[in-house]
Amino acid sequence: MGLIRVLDHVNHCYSNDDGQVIQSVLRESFDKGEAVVLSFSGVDSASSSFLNTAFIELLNDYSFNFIKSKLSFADTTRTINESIKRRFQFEVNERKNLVNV
Amino acid sequence: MYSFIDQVLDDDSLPRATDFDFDFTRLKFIRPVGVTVLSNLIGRLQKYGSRVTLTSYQPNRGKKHCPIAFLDDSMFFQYYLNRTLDPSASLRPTTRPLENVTCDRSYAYLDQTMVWLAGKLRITKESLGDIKTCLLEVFNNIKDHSFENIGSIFVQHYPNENNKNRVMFAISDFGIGIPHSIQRVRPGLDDAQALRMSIQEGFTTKTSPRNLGAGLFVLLQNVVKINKGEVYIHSNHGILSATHQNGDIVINSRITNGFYPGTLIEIEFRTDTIEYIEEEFSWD
Repeated sequence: MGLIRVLDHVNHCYSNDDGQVIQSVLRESFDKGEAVVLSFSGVDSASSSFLNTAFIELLNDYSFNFIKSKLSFADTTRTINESIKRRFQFEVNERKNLVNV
Repeated sequence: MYSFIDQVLDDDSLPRATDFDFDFTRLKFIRPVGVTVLSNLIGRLQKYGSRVTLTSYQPNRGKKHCPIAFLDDSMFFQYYLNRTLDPSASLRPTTRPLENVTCDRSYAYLDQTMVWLAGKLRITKESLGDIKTCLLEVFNNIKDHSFENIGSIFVQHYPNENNKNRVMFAISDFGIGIPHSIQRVRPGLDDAQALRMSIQEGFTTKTSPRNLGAGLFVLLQNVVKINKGEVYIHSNHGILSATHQNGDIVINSRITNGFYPGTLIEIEFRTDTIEYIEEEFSWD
């Protein structure tokens, strides 16, 4: 399982563009079937724009179960953890509702 | 505030004249939020080519709450006249200077502000991560929705007001306003209803395909639910307040007679509820 440090790829976790960089890094690993631990070492804040682009857009191409099996996080705070889980929970439910409709 | 803005801007939020004199001689009191509104207003007038002069008396430093001394110390006159009124004016230990911050500089600005605030509160900068996230959401909101790229921001620390230790952030843009943006996709809503809609998780006007409608929801969760602070949003003809009561967020919104040409967000954080908790991640 590879450890990827967020701050090795972006200066902060702020914009959609920052999120896009991390999304691309994750896709590269996922497409090789590799699991990733993403380290937030040195990161004190992460905006919803960053989280949406880095992680939620992965749902367009990978199932939530696949993402959970391949992606984990390290060196995080309670708030960042809760934000990631809450965003996934909301978007997965939204997508289920769309399918049901 | 509304009547003052109405004297200056017309129904299309354009200057009513080409020359304005802002006369401060009868000013009795100004709140931090007033500093940002004034700044935004002057910025708007200058953007459309109006000439603005400022008339004031010398600050009376012998008077306890002299509003001109407060404005001078906030660097308001320094910003717009390139000099302070009083040579002894200096930034108060409880405030950050008034700044007009562009979105691309907002991260650096907020980072510096968190260093300042951490020093005031004698805690680590990392402990202020949740507060920083909230302010990042506000600037992302300006960038994505206001069709402007700049926010006026003023920060004041109240170390001991009514035995409460609080920090107030006032951020204003003079963009199109949240209700206006929402009514383009939901034309039936009035401005108060539109503000309520804007804070719903998952509601988005899709001004950018990447918007998922989380920013203002996250702001309220972090400030009100977690920190037990308060948020007030003034935009177009709407006002929305979010306060904490028994573990929940209480939302009120109403229509105003006056018009705010853009969005003004007041965020009041409690400093006694700030916590920094490192936690191992688990999907469960």
